[in-house]
Amino acid sequence: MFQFTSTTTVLLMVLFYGITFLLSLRIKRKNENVDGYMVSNGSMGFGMSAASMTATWIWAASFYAAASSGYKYGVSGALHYGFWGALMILFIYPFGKRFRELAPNAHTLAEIMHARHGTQSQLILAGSNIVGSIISLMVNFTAAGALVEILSPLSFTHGVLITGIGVLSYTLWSGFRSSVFTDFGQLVAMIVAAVIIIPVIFYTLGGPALFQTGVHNLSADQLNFFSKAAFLEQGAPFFVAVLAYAIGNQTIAQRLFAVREDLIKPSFITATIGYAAIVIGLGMLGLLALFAGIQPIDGNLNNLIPQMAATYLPPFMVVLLFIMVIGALSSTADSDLSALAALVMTDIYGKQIAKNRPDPKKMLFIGRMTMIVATMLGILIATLKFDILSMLIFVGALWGAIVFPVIVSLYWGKVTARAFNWAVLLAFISFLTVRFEWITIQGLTAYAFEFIATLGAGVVLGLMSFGFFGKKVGLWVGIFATLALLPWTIGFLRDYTTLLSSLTAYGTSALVCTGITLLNRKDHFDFKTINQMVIEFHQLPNKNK
Amino acid sequence: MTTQFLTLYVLFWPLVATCILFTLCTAVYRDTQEAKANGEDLV
Repeated sequence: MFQFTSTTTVLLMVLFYGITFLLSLRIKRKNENVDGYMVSNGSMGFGMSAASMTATWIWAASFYAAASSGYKYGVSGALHYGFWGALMILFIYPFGKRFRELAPNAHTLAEIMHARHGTQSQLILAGSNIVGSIISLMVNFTAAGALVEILSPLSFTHGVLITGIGVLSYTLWSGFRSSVFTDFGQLVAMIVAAVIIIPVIFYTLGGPALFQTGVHNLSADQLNFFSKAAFLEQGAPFFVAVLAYAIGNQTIAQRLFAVREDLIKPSFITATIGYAAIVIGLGMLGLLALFAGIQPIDGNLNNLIPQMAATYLPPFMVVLLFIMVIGALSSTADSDLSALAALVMTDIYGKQIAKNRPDPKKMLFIGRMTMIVATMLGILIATLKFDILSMLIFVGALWGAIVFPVIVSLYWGKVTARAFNWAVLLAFISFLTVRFEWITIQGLTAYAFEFIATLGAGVVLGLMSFGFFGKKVGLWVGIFATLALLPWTIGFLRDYTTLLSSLTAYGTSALVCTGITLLNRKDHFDFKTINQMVIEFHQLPNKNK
Repeated sequence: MTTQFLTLYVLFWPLVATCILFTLCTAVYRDTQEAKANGEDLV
């Protein structure tokens, strides 16, 4: 298999991060303001917003996992990864418009939750966002280490270190503004690489004739476009996570607050299509490998894309692939750093320590220090090589527990902080109970969890419909879906623990939040007050004078 | 599933990605011109 020399690898990475750093200098300001550091000018145009959203949502794992899915499940495999991932971007925009309407000057979603429910709810949301961003950062550094290890004589740790320092170098000074500005260049590099690599590998493997000569390598299920296994094992758990990732990920919230309000819809729709095209397209490499009868090195499906590139592409195209993967993981890692900085600046320092009267200079310093500490932490955890998949599932469920309480709190004035906090806490405990089988899931217990999980499925579908079509349709879809799914899920879901536990989190949070809220007979919350409490920080010194 | 369908299925995604690239480059160019004309920052 083709490998770069150590010198070439270092040169490529230095060149990539050097150019990115030079790009970021174009927007560097001597005196950054805190709001710009977190959410830019709040009126970003369509092109930059859509490009940044797409680049951020595509990370290195998107390529590997889509190709693995294509290889494992056949013709529908890549779709069951890329399509649901793309929907995560699409389904957040109706809710995003509501967030912007309530708090045009917000920096984080947790900040809005502080105005709505107070400190505890804010810290629950901010805490889950911080954990998620650190894990995402670590996953991207890990992917860089793995890529460098496969394609060069350098070690995993070398790859992690160069990437960590490279990403920090161009993000540290201008924060979110650097992240967004460099996202465009990184996305262009990614698309150009994908557009060249996919057809070249396809025709190198034999073109259309491959589908005749290699058809015997696929099972009947892999040839089925509506494969049940692909849906239940890959698509359904992803579908459940659609809203969880969109609500729980601060990188999305940050872009929602940065784009010009009337451009939220076109930006997010374009990002949805862009993400789907690139990720499903690269997932096709897995399908082609399956038709060609290629066996992944060491049986590890993550090796498929680098292996195919190194085997079937000329060296300069392997360089393209290398840049594409480094670009994908760097654009997500810089967004994670900016997200973490915004969370610590706003939710820890601004709201908790400075009590809404922060010193902007100190705030900016804290943001930059957060990035340095987060990078060190990301590098450290990455070198420990934890089980990434388990951590992602854990975070997905953590976010699943907050989706219903967060969304419903911003539409229904009767929801209290008590309802929010208990709903999240009990949903998380119920998830852990099922996921790690703290009690035996059989008999009446299994029926009870299956019932709650079915309710959870209704909640997911109801919330999605509610976002686009309003309360009435959302409620009816939720009720109808729950009733229609009951005959299928009872006695069935217990065999799919991951799906059962995720849906249980949704069902429990919805039950508890709605139950406690209905007991509240006090006045409705006035949503107009949110805007008064969520403020622009850089104007504070003038206001104080 | 026919060979033609599968070929189209594989090559469709790079085609869409090309269209998205064109759309984004055009939009960013417009954003840049607009920002220059108004004396504002792009981001």
